[in-house]
Order: sequence, then C-alpha cells, then structure tokens
Amino acid sequence: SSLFKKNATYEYGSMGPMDIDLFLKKLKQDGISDVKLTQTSETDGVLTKIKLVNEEIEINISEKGTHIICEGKQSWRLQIRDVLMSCMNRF
Amino acid sequence: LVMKEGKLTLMDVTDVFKEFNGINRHVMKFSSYIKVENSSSSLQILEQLHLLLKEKLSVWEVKLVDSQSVAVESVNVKLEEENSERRICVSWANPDEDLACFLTDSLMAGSIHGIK
Repeated sequence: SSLFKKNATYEYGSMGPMDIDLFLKKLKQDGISDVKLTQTSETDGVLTKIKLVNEEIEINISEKGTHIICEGKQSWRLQIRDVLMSCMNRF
Repeated sequence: LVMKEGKLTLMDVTDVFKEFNGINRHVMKFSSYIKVENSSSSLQILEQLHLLLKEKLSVWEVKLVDSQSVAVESVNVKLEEENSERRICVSWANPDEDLACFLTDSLMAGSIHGIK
C-alpha cells in the first residue's frame, strides 16, 4: 500500500494576497482565466473563493489550507493542483 | 527524516510542523463528486460500495465509518443525497493523491459495478 504514497508531499507556507495574485496569474498562463473571485472575512481569517465559470470547480483558500472541489472530472483538478503546488514550498 | 540538532531523526509529519514553529503547514484538500445512477436504497448502495472497495482494494484498509461513509485508509468515500439526487463524494488530502485518483477514476469508469 505504501506504493501509493511514494510521491506524497507536504506543503507549507502562506497564501496571502500576493500569493493568491501569483496563483491567479499562473492559472491564467495555463489557460484558466474565466474565474469568479469572492473574499469573505471568517473567524480564522480571510476566505478566498475562486470559481471556474465554465467548469464545476471551486477553490477555497484560507490561511491554513486550500480545498479544491470538483465534479468528478480529473483533468482540470490536476492542472489546478499542479499550479497551486508550484506556488507552495514543500518537502 | 529530519536533521535536528546535528542528528538525523525520524519524525511524524504532524510533529515536524509542531516542532518547527516558523513553518506553517498549508493543507491541500480535495473533494470530487460522482453522480450515482442506481435505484437501490442508499444503505444498499453503501454496503455494495463497501464490499466492492474491500474486494478491489484488498491491500488497503477499507472500513465502514458510519451509515453514509466508507474509509479507504485516510480517503473518505461518502454517499450524499440532495433533492432525490445521489452522489458519491471522495475526499482526501494531497499526500493521498495517488490512491484517491485511482479510486475516483475507478468509480467514474464504472469499474466498480452497480455504482454507475
């Protein structure tokens, strides 16, 4: 079963306003530009929601983590995952 | 493996983040939804799903968590119902990507029979 964990990574760092700008810029470079962005103030900080307009995908970013929610289709999710990982530090 | 006070030490990931205060973990989580087209009752589908996952993924620990969820190691597979539409929600964190991706693909391809 450990075979499935051989590529496991653990991300660290922040996703502040500048990091989110960079993330959006990289998404755009990857052809994902049709997004709707909303920001709300929650008890544990700012929650940024990014919705892909033409795909049923939502990305929720807070100080401590990012949650990517999608409807089954893997290709977009994997692309977004790669872009996000390129914005983070990891080991 | 962590280099600590000049020595190599084996540490749990959660403890590494606790110990090194300057490093803030950023947890990447995923939820993937798959529509269920099956006329059986939700309980029957969940039982079916549990047995099939156990059979297909016999190397991993597959267990029934509650009346709605099955866990495959730390990947959660939950049967949700809203407005008479049922869907399976697969949730995981980034280190479980390979297993979750395999699981989601299997569910979407209908290779776990009776679910799609």
